[in-house]
Amino acid sequence: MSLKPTAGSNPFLGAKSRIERRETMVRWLLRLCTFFIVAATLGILAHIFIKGAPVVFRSSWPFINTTFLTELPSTLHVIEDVKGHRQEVDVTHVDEVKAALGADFHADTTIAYSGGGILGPIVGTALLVFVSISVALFLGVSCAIYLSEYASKGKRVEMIRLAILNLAGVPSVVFGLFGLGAFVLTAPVLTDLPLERSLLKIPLGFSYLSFQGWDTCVLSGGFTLAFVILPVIITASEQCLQAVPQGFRETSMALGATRWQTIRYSVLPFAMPGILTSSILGIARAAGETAPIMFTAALAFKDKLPWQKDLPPLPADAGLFAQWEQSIGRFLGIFTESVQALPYHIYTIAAKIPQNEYSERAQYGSVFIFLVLVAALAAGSVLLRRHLRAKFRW
Amino acid sequence: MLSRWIISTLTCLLVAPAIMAQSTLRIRGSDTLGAKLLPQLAEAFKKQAGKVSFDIAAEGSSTAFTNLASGTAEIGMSSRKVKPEEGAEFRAKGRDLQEFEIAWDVIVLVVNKNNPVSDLKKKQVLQIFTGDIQDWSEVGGTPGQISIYTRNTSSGTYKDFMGLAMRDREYGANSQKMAGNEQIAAEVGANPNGIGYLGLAYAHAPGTKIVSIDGALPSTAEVKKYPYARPTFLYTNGTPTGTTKSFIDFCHSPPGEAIITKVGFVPKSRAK
Amino acid sequence: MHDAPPPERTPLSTLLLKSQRRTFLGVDKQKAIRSFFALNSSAAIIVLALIMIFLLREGVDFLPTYRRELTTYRKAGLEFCDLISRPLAKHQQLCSRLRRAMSASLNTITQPARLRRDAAYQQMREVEEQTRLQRAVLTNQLALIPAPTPEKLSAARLELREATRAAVNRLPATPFLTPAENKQLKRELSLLSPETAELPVVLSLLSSAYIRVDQEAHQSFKPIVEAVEMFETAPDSLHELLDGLKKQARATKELALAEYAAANHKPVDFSGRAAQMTSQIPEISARIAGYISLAEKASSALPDRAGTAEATELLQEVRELLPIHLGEMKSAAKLLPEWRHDKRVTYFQVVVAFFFGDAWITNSSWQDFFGFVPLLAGSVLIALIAVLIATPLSVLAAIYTNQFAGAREQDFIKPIIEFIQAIPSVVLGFIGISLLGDVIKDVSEWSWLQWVPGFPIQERLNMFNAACLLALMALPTMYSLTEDALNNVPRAYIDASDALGATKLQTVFRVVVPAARSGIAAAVLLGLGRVIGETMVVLLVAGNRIAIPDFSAGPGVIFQPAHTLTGIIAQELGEVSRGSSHWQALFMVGIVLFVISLLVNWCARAFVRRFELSKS
Repeated sequence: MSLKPTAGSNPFLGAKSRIERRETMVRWLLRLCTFFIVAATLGILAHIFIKGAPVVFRSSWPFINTTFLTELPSTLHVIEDVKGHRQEVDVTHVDEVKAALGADFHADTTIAYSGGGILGPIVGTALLVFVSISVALFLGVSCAIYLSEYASKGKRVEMIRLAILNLAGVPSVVFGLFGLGAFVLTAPVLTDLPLERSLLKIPLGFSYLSFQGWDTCVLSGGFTLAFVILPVIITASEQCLQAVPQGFRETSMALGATRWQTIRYSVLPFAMPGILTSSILGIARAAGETAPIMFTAALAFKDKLPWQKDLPPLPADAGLFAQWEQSIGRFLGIFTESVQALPYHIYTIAAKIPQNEYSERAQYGSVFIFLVLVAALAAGSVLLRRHLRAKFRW
Repeated sequence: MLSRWIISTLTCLLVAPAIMAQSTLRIRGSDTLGAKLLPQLAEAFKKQAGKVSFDIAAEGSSTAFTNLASGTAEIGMSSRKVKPEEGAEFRAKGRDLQEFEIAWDVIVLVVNKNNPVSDLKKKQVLQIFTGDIQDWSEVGGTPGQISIYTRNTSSGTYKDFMGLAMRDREYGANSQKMAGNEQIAAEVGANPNGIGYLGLAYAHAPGTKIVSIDGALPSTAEVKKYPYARPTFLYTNGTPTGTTKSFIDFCHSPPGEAIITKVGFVPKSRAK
Repeated sequence: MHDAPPPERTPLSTLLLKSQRRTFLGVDKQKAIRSFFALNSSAAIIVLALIMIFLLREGVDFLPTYRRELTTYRKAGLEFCDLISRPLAKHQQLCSRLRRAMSASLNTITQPARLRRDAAYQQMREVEEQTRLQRAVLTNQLALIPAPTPEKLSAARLELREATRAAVNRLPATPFLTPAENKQLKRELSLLSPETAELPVVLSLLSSAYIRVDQEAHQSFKPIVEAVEMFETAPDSLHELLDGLKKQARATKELALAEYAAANHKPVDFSGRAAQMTSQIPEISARIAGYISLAEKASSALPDRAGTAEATELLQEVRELLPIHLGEMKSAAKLLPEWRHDKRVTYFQVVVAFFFGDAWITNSSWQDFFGFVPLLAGSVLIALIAVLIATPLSVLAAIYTNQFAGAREQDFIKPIIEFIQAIPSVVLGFIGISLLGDVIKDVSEWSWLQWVPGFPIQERLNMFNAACLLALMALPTMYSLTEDALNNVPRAYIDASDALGATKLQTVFRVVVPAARSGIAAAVLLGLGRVIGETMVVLLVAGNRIAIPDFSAGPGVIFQPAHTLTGIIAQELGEVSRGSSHWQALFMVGIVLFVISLLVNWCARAFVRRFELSKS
C-alpha cells in the first residue's frame, strides 16, 4: 500500500476549476515567452561558441591558438594541387610551397583578412577604449560630483539631467557624424603648415593653432566614443557618490574641512571603487560600438601595430634630447594614426569577404574573442559591484 | 588623481599635431583592384624591395580621388577614368593628377548555377539591370522574380557597368547594393533567381555560373572584343617619385604582369 | 541628500586661518573648484549643442547646393527630357507583363522539350564540375610549348577518362529523358574531354529539337507574339529622338558644371540651347502620337486568350493599364510647351524634393536625386516590425519574472536578458548574415508553411531578418523598463485586489498592468528609439535596396530588402568627397535622425511624467 496520495485518492484535491485551468495555462504561456527569449539568446551564444571556440582553443599545449591572438590579420592563400588536396599557407610561404609542388600546382585562391590573427584589431580597440574612458571618466565624474555634491535643485540641474537623458538616446551613427565634423575636421592642432580648409588660424609666434581637425586617428575615435558612453558614466558615478553616507560629509565638515577637502578626502575615496567598476560597463559599450569609429578612427587593413612606425633614423651623434624627442614622437604617434578595431574588423570580414570554410574561421574566431572580451568586462563589472556592495556596507 | 587626468588630457590635446610621417605607401580606392590585385602586388613588391609598408583600403573608386585630394593617399586605384568634375577639383587646387593604366578588367555576368539561362543578349542585360525585365521567364528561364545584385554607388564597377551595358541609364529600383565582389558572388550563389556582375578575377565562385553575352564568353585572350571590358588605373598626385615610382614601375614589369595575369586581370601590354 | 543641505555656517578653519585664504584674480579657490565642476557638468548640454552645430555646419548648405543642382537640371534641359521619359518608363513595365504572358503561353508547348534539354545540359555541367581538376591538368599539358612526352599526355588522358567515367556512374538518371536516352547520354558523357570541342550527339539533338518546338510554338501563338513585338518596338522612333535630346542636355549640363568649377569660363548660353530643344516639340508630339496609335493597334491585336489562365490575366491587366499610360503620355505632350528652362526653383520645392522625394539616386550619369522617402520607409517599417516582435515578448517576460517567477527562476532569467545588452550590434549583424538569414530562408521553404504571405522568400537579407535581431537588441531595454514600471505599482493596489478575492491572474492583468500602463508605453517608445537609431544590424542584414517597399505584396512586404536612414550614412559617407551635395545630403539625414531621437525621448518622458502623476 502506498502512502503517497494520488490524484484519485486524495479527498482534498478537488477537480481543477475552469479558472484554475486558465490560470495555469496563462502562466505557462508567460513562461514560454520568457524562456523563448532566454533560449534565443543562449542559442546565439552557443552557436558562436561552437563555431568560434575551436578556432581559439587547441586540444594540446598551450591549449590556446597563439597565432590567432598574436599575429596581424593577413591574406590567406589556399593552394590546391592537381590531386585536389588543399593546403593553407600564409603569405611568406606561398612561393616555397608552390616551388615544392612544381608541376602538381593547380590553383592559388586568396581570401583577404582570413589568415594570421587579430592582434591589430585587439590593440586598436584597447587604445580607443583607453582614450575614451579617460575622457569620459574625467568629464563624467566631474559632472556627477557637481550634481551630487554642489548643485541644489533648480532649472540648471533639470536641464543637465534632461541633456544627459537625450544624449543617451542619440543614435550612434549620429555620434559618428559629429565626431567626423568636430574632431576629424575641426579640432585644433599646433602646426607650422595650416591646411587650406582650416576653420581658424591663430598665429602663436613659433607656430599656428589651426582648427583643421585631427584627421582620422585614435584620438578622434576615442573622443567620439567618450561622448557615446558619457551618460552611462555620469549616471553610474552619481549613484556611487549618493551611496556614500551623508554622515561622512557631515563629520568632515564638522572638523572644519572645506567643501573640496570633504569631497577629496571623505567622499571620493569611498565612491571611487564603485565608480571604476561601474565604468567597466562603459568600457564594454565603447569597445562594442562600430558606427562612431567608422569615419573617425577605424581602418580596414593595416600591416603594422600602432607603435611600429618607421621614423627617420637619428644621426649617430644625436644628443639625448633628440632621442628623447623621438621616443615622445613615437609614443604620440600611437594616438595620431588610424587603427584597426575589433568591431570594424568584424564588420569588414562579415560584409566584404565570402562565407566559406576558410573565412568562417576568421569570422567566428574574431566574433568569439570579441564576445568573450565584452562579456568578461560586463560580468566583471557586475561581480565586482556585488563584491563592493558587500564590503562597503554602511 | 584628478590633476593627473587633467595633465594627461591636456598633453594629448596639445601635442596631437605630431604630423604624420610619410613612411608608408597609402593606397586607397577601388575594391576591384584593392581586394585582390594590389595586396598581392604589394606583397611581391615588399619581397623585392624590402622595407616598405603598405596601407591599403578599398572602398570604391571615388575614394581614390577624395583621398588623393586630401593628401591621405599616395596612390589611388580606380576601375574607371577620373570624372571631369573630379579632375577639375584637382586643377583648381593647382595639382596635377597622373594616370597609369595597369590592367584590363572584364566584368562578368553571373547567375545561380541552377539557372537554365546561360546566354543573354546585350539588350536583355540592359533591360534586366534597369528593371525593365523583371521576371526570368521573359528571357527564357524558369518563372521567378529577378534579384539584381550590384556594387555600391561609389564603386567604379557600378559606374562603368552603367556606361558599358546600360547606356548610362539608372539601375532599377529593385537592385541591391552590395559591399564587394565577393558578397555579390555569395548572394548569387545562394539565390536561384539572382544575377550580378563581378570582376573576372572573382567569377569562379561556388554556386555561380558565367553567362555569355551574345554568345561570347569572357576571355583574357581577346579582352577588348568582349563588350564589358574596361581598363583600370592607378593615379598619383603629381609625377611619382621614390617608393611610389618604383612601385608603379614594378606593376608594369614582367613579374608584376605575371601577378596581374594570375589574379585574373589582363596586363596592359597584352590587352588586345 | 538634497533634502538636507549642510548648515550654512562658515567653517571653523576659515575663521581661524583667515589669513591663509588666497585669492586669484578675485576668485577664491573654493569658488574656482565649484565653477570648474559646474562647467564640466554642462558637458552633456554642450555636447548636444555641438552635435547640432556640427551637423548643421556640414548639412545646412545642402539646400542651396541641391537647389543649384536642380536649377542646372532644369536649365540644361534634363527636366525637359524627363517630362517624356518618366511616363515612357511605364511602357517597359507593360512590356514586361506582355513578355511574361507570351513566355507562359509558349511554355505550354515548349516546356517538355526545354526540360529535356536543360536536364541533359545539367548532367554535362555536373560531370565537368566533378572532373575539373583532371581537365585542368590535361589542358595545361596540351598548352605546354615544348610538348610533354606522349606517355605523360596519355597518362593525363587516362586519368581524365577514369575520373569522367566515375563521375558519370555517380550521376542519377533524370526522369525527363527516356531510359534509352539516359543510357546514350551517359555513354557520350563518359567520352567528354577538353580536346573535342563538339557537343555530345544527344545534346545537340535535344537542342535542335527544342529549337524546332520553339518555332512551332511561335507559329501557334502567332497573334500574341506579333502583338508583343509590335508593342515593344512602338516607342522606338520616340526613343531615338529622346536619346538625341538627352545627349544634348547632358552636354549642356557638363558645360554648366565646368562654368561653375572655373569662374573665368565663358557663360553658357542656356536659353539658346533650350530654344533648340523646345523647337523640337512639334516633332516630339508627332512621335508621341505615332507611339500612341501603334500601341493602341498592338493592344487591339492582342488575342483575348493566351496559353494559360495566368497569361490571360496578364493580358487583361495590360489592356486595363494601357489607356492610363497613354493618357499620361498625352498629358506629358501637352506639358511640353509650358516648360520653361529659366523658371526659378524655389526653396520650398527643394525641401519638398528632399523630404518627399521617392528616389535616392547617387553617382548617376544623368542626375543625382536625394529623396528621403525610400530610406525613411525602410527605417520605419523595420522599426515597427521589430517593436511588434519585441513588445509582447518583453512585456510578457517582465510580467512573468516580476509577478510569477520564483526567486531562483528570476536569478536565472534576469542576468541572461540583461546580458543581451552587452552583445555588440555588429556581432548580431554577423549572426544575421551567417545564421539567421539561412534559417529564415530554409523555414520559408517548408511545404506546410506556404500559406504564410511572402513564403518562400527569395532574399536572405531582408527587413524581417533585420527586425528580428533589432527586436532582440531592444528587448533588454524594454524588459527592464517594464519591470521598473511594474515594481512601481503601489503595494496597496495589489493588497486591495487580493482582499476582494481576485485570483493572481486577475490582479496582474486587471490591476497591476493597467496601473503600469504609461510606464510600459514609455518602455516601448524608448525601445523604438533604440531600434530606429541602430546602424550595424540594418547595414549588414537589411539587404540595402534603395526603394520604397512594394506594399502591393501585402503582409509579405516584410520579407523584402530595404535600406535605412542609418545604413545609408554608414555605407556612403566614407566614400563621398567633403562638401559635395551627396555629403551634405547625408548630414541632412543625420540631422533628421537626431531630431527623431530627441522627439522619441521627449514623448517617452511625457508618458513617464503622466505615469508619475497618476501614481501620486
